Amino acid sequence: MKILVIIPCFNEEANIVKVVNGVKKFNYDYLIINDASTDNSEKILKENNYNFLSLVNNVGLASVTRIGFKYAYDNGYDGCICVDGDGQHPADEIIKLLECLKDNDYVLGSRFINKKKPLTLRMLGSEIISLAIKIKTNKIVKDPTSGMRAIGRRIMKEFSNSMNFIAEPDALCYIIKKGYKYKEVEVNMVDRIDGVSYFQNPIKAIKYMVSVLISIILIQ
Amino acid sequence: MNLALRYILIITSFLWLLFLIRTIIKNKLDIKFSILWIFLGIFIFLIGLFPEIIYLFSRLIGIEIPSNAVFLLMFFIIYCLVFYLYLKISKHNQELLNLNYEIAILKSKIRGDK
Repeated sequence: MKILVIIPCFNEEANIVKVVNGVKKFNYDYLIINDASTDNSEKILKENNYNFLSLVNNVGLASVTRIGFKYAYDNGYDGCICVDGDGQHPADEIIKLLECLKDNDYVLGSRFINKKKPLTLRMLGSEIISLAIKIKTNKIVKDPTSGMRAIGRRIMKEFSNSMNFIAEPDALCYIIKKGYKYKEVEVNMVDRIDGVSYFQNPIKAIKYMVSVLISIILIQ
Repeated sequence: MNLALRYILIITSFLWLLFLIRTIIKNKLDIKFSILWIFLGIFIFLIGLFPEIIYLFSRLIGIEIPSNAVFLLMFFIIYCLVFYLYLKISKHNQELLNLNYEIAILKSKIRGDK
């Protein structure tokens, strides 16, 4: 199976080298997509001679992953896997998802299959999204907001042509609704090495929650 | 509808049409979109000239004051126009994303050749 590892990168000058070297160690094909970073990310990518695409304008994570899927589809890959550029997803966990991709269309790397969710505001949000997916599809997804997922060629084709999703949870809901085979796999994630999360900003977090919930309940 | 409102409708829509035609001649507005706006201008002009159209309309849907029917109508038209713009923006976003992708691919090819 020909597999592509997609690494979105937006202002990750501190982490990107570690992440990419981690992936390279396992000899996967990889593609870094630089979403018009304003820091030195592009320079670092160039200096290290990595395989990367550099976008002209900032388009946001959902569109970046879509570009990754399109690239993977156009270049004849059988599957691709998204790994965050901030070092949250260790490269040695990739293999666990790939093993399941052989007989599934969509594999989700989950933090909470056997572990309990910690009691934080962030996990409350995750819990609400799980509930919305449960109501809509009658399936239980333990970690719907996880960004580490592997997708097969069938879904790749669909996503690269038209992808009207806000983020991971509503895309997952769409996949389940359409009757594709999906699986959740336990992976270990580490806290981000450096930099700040998108959800530090409460207004952005609320906007994310509301739009994802509306998308799940009304649209997908 | 009182006389003042009629005069306002006639004069502003007339000036509006003049302005519109000037922008089209100066190539500032795409002629595709201009047709819509010209029709809108003519429509308002006609309402000012023949308020009977509005009287008939307001009687049909049960609005007591005809000028309210004018506002309702305008509101509805603007609503449609704004939605149309949103559709256009969404389409342009998709097109921009595709362009972004193609440019990024070309850039990486150029890098590879060096």
